[in-house]
Amino acid sequence: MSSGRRAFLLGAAALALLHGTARAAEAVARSTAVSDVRRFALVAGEPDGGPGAVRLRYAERDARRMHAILTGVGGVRPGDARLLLSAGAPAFMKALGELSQAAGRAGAAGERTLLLVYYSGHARDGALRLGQGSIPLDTLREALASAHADVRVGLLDSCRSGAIVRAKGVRPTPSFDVKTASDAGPRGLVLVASSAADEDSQESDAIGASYFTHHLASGLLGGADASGDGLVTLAEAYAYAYARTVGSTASSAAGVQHPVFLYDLGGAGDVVLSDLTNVSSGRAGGIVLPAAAEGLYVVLDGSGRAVAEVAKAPGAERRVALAAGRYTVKKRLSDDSGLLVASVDVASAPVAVEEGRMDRVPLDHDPQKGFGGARWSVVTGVGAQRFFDRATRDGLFPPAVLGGVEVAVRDDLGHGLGWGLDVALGGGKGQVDVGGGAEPLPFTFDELGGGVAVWKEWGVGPVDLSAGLRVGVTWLHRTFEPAAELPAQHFFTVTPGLVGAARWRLTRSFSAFGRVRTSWLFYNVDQNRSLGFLEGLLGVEYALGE
Amino acid sequence: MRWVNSLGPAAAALALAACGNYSTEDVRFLAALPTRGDLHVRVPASGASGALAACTSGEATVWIGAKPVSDGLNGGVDLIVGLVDAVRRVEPSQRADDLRVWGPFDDDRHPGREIRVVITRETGPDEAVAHRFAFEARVTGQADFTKVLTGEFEGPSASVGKGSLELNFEALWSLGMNDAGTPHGALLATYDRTGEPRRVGIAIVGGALGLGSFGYDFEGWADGSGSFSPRRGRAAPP
Repeated sequence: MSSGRRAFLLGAAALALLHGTARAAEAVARSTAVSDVRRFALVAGEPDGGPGAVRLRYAERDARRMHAILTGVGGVRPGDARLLLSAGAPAFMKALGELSQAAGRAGAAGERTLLLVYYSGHARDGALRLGQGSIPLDTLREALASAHADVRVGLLDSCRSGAIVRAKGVRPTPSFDVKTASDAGPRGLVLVASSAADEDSQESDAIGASYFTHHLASGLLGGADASGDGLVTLAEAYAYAYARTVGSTASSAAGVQHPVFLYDLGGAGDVVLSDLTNVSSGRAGGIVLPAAAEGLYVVLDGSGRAVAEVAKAPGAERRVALAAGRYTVKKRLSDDSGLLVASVDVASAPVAVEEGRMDRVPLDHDPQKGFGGARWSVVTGVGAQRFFDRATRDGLFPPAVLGGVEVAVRDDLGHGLGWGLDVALGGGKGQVDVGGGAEPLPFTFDELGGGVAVWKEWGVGPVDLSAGLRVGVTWLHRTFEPAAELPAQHFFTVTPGLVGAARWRLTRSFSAFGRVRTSWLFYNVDQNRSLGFLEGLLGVEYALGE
Repeated sequence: MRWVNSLGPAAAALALAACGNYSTEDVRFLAALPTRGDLHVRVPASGASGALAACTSGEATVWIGAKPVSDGLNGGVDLIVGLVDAVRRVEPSQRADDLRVWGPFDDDRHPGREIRVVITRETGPDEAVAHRFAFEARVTGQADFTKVLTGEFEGPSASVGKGSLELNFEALWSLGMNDAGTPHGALLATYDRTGEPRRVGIAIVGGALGLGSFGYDFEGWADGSGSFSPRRGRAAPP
């Protein structure tokens, strides 16, 4: 039997087990709601896996996302949470020890405690790889097993992390005895790994996260609340993350990824990981999918990144907790004929997403592929223009200072594509050498130009780079001093060219902006000449509607 | 390759889209034209410091005679100045390396008449520049032009060069482009504005202003002082 097959069976067995325990747990009061348990969380993101390991793109983002969820709907007090980003193995173990001690003190004071450890990063050869250091999985498991908390939960999103459960495998959890369920609540250890011992865990550029963390986070935000009671239990979260991760990776080049689960809990009740009741009661922001809604809903934040996915079945209302902000909710139609898309402004109260109020758009306008609708912005700045040919600069078109305004529209033509209209006005001073030792004739040079450009944009860290084509028109004009009794002169022509720009986002609305253009100008008055000129501009871009 | 073949029409389209009169060479040719100040005959006003300077040179009788003559000449020169101004407002109709032609275009002041201006340029081996220009006119519909103003000078500009002009008032009369005050005959002028003093020689031939012939030389300095001297025994410019 292949290890993938084994992993699938392990996962399926765990799912069956968990569904069973979930149903059993429904018979008892949810005495383990988040407010009844003192929760501690260690969240670590480690993109660097040491020599030979490819740096992970989303490990730190995964960690930040999980930290936000756990300290939000997860009920972890901010002071009881540790977020470690590229901190290394010693810091990880030190924080784990400190949180274990803190949980022990809380337990000694009569509180019921839960310690959750989340890790996103590399793992190899039976150990987590944190930069230059490592933590053997056995060591981590032992540390969790001996931690001073009633419930210890380990969530590992890393390659081959399933090895942490391999030694002991999945074993049936002690059955919940409804009749004898005490008020002691659950106790024990739960380990969840994103992939089997011989599988790689995968990241996705499309969702901007690792698959497993993305689906786990979506589940905790409400997607996994199968019962519709506003509480997402560990069983629900795992079942949801398992199904969605397998589904998402089924067709990936790296192969299907099967999360695995070690469940060693005793006591009564289930472990609640997130509490959405504030959303349903109107005390917290989020969206509500009506009971009749059915299908896969994806929630995207303002930058187009998926923050939650909800595989919704009809029958129960589903709540998704979201921080305040503007989101896009999309749903793919079952016949693949298009998408339903809606913009939602989440504040302090939940917002119902009614299917009848969603816009139907073509599949190629998928907001998750960057098509969040046209994004408009205004650029203003100052710059300079200079012709390449020295003789042209000296007597014909002198260097000029320009001020300009541009309207840019992104993602209107497609993902990463932009177009814009620009206009600029400026001028300079020059002089005509009439030769023969005579005094040169000074003139004032004016220029009015405009154009339309299309470009492709790429994100490189905090900077967006773009390159494209532009077709402009320019009107050049000069006047001489009155004493010269010379007429004003003008020239109008089309100026095609290339454009490149860099944009560095400073705030949500403002970005620093720099652009270089090179254009061709065909001059045909004195003689036919092909001239080139360069323009540079520095300015500020303001995003409309952000 | 097909896309290469399409570059020609694209370039042609862009050429057609380009338009205007933005020309440094035009500026150089226009700078060669005499200005109103270049054409006007300036005689120091009575009582001005320049007049006193003229008197102290011992040529007061010449000045007394030249002043009304120059005033009368300037009336005719104004017509020529009008032509020069018209050229400055009109884009050249023909451009070549050392040639500019304006017109023919209608003379606003004289309906039924057309004007053409031709300027040629010669550049010597020492980069010295010489211009020849001709203001020509004709009755609309006729084939031949008659020269009204011709001239040549050395240097980049009539304002600073050295050369000569001939204003053919008789041609204006024959073309019906004369005004009431237009003199007859011709005005021959030489000038040298290459340094101090600036020299202007005027000769009137053919009965202009009722004079059989008349001539004088004027030297002017930047401080406004000047002196006249009569052409003794000859009328034509030296």
